[in-house]
Amino acid sequence: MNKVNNWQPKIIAFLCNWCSYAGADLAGISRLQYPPNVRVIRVPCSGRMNPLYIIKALQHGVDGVLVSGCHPGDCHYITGNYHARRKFAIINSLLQYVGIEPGRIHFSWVSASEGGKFAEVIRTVTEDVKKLGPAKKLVKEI
Amino acid sequence: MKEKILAKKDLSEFINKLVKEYDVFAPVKKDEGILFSKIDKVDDMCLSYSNTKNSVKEFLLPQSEALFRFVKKENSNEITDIKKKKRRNLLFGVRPCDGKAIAMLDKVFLENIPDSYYKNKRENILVIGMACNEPDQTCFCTSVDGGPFSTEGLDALFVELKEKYLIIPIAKQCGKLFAHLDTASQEDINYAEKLKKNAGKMLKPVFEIEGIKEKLDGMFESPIWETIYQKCTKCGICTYLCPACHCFDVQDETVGEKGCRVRNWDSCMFPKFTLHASGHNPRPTQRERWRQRIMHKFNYLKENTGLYGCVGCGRCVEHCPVNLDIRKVLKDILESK
Amino acid sequence: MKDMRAKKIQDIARKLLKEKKVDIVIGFEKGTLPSSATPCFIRNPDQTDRLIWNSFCGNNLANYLPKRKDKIGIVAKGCDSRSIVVLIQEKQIKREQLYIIGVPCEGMINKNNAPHDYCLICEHKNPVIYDVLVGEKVKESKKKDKYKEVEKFEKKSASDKWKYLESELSKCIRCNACRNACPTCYCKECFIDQEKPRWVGTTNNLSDIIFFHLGRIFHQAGRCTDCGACVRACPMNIDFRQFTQKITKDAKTLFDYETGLDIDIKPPFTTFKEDDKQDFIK
Repeated sequence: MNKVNNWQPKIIAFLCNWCSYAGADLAGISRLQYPPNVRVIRVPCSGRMNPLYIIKALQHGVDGVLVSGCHPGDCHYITGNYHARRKFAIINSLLQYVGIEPGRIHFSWVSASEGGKFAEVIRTVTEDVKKLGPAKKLVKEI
Repeated sequence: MKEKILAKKDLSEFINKLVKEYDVFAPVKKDEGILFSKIDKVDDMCLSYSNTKNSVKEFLLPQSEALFRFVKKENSNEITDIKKKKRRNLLFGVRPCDGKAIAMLDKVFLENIPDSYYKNKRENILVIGMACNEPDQTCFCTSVDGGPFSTEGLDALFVELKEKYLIIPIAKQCGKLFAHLDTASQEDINYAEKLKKNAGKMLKPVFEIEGIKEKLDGMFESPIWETIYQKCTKCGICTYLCPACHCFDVQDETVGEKGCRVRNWDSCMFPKFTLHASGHNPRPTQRERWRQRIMHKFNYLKENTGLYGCVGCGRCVEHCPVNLDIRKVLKDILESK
Repeated sequence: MKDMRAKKIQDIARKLLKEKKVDIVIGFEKGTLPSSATPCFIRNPDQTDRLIWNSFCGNNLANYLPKRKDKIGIVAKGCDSRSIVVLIQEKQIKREQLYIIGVPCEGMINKNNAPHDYCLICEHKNPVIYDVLVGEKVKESKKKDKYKEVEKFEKKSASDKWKYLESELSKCIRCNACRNACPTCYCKECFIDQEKPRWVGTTNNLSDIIFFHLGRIFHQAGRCTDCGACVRACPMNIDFRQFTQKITKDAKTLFDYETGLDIDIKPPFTTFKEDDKQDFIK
């Protein structure tokens, strides 16, 4: 358990504009409750997501990262998320291999109509990151 | 000051005493090789080495040095100087080539407009050398006006005799370090001379350096530069391991509202080294950059400081991934028409 | 046998240069240190007797190919030839520009006269692409425990894994030799040199060092041929292969891809399958 009781994790979510961001928007409009620890960065497509952004986020002291896009087959740019899927597989495997805790980095497919799923994903991610405590491994100090 | 003697069996006590008063850095055996590192006791030290992988320039010109820190506040910026270290540093086991490099760096950083960061470190360090009885096959100090028993840049020089060390104190402040030791006998001094001659014999001159500055004066557009650089991979190994290379870059590192201005080692071998803000690069290819390396070390520095920018330590020769041997380059230049 | 191959390479090079089939031959010549060979660049057919072939010809000469515009005769071992395939696939050099002098390789040795680790597990000793083969092909063998070190590492705890990464990478002096020796690191502006915005700091800060290497290793997925150029170049003996082998293993297990075997097989990031693994995605 955390030694710092008031600590709240800081989680960055990279959401693709056409599906996941819209799904997050729907969750908001539907007044679905989910933890407020997430800060959203909107990208045009999950394929735009440079896997190195995950490492950069961890350098900045972020405790968890979520990357979410359209379901395979539904990408607004047709194949963006297929290419993203391969990149995510490699970066996920590499980061776990070097010792970044698996619960810190998450990926999901959330469509524009899945407001409920979005809220559920955020709940899961926040819970997983809370269990791990503040991220220290890659934090850059000057 | 007279030469002194320290028995090898007394080295332990001598070093352990130094460690109490100074932060002592000496050759230490690590995974990556023998490096100059901090020691707490004499057992940390490894004296069976020809030279350390890293040079001692990092104690005067650190690879990354914070110059000052700043914090962005509401109406102003708060700037704080870096606190100067209180304890003095002592380097033990510095080879004469690295010592000569310090003498050259002193000319660059202390003459004309002294660099305050370098000056502060230079005034708070004692450099104790260890003469080379058995130079390595990549050593060529005698070809660049140096020598295996040279005392330039050193505050004292140890010479390893059979069961003892002969100590040659050079700087006045060293006097008190060795005051309690016995004076060396003439026999010891003669033996040290013999070792010096033997070491000199092992270092056959690779080329005749006399006149290279004048030769290079007329060679800026020489066709020799067209071929020298070809296998260079443009990494920074030669410049970073070199005890005499001292080029640097200044950058600001910021995280949120806090920041720090740092001075980092830079390398003339890197393509971006001379990239201007306009996008123009006066040294666009490795041809110009290799020409710069040779000119700087053997022409410009010789003209400006009277000393060559190369001390013949051989680290670049040993560690270049493609065996771009500066000794061969100099030979080719000296033999060219 | 090795002397015969050196002579054959010299003869081929001389003929190529005399007949102007190539503008330059890139091969190996005797190094200035004992037990060393060094890359050489020859344009004059009369200089071709400088060329040698021995167990010290470890450098990956494909490193000199990206973005060249001339016609090149290049000496290539198995691993080098695979790097050449990658460079052709990525349009860094055209096949028509190259006359590949393939040399079957029995393994290279290091300064301590021991074979390199990566040579011991090599499954592609014979060049996969060549215009002429110097000498007989050598027997290939599949190495069952090729990824033994990776599998052992995978079983460690997260904190042990991170401790190892930090202990290796804290040796880094940011000389960039690993990146520059690698034939597939050829970006005009490497991500660590980008300034607008600046991704990675310029100091020896450990967090930045780790970012650099994790990024560079990630960029090698499906492109690394385990030629060992990075470990051979590193002056601080950093164990990169513990990590590059992981990324190579993943390319095989996730995408059934082995680097540089065939120009026509699409590299993993240029394509996809509808049923690519996604059990890690919610």
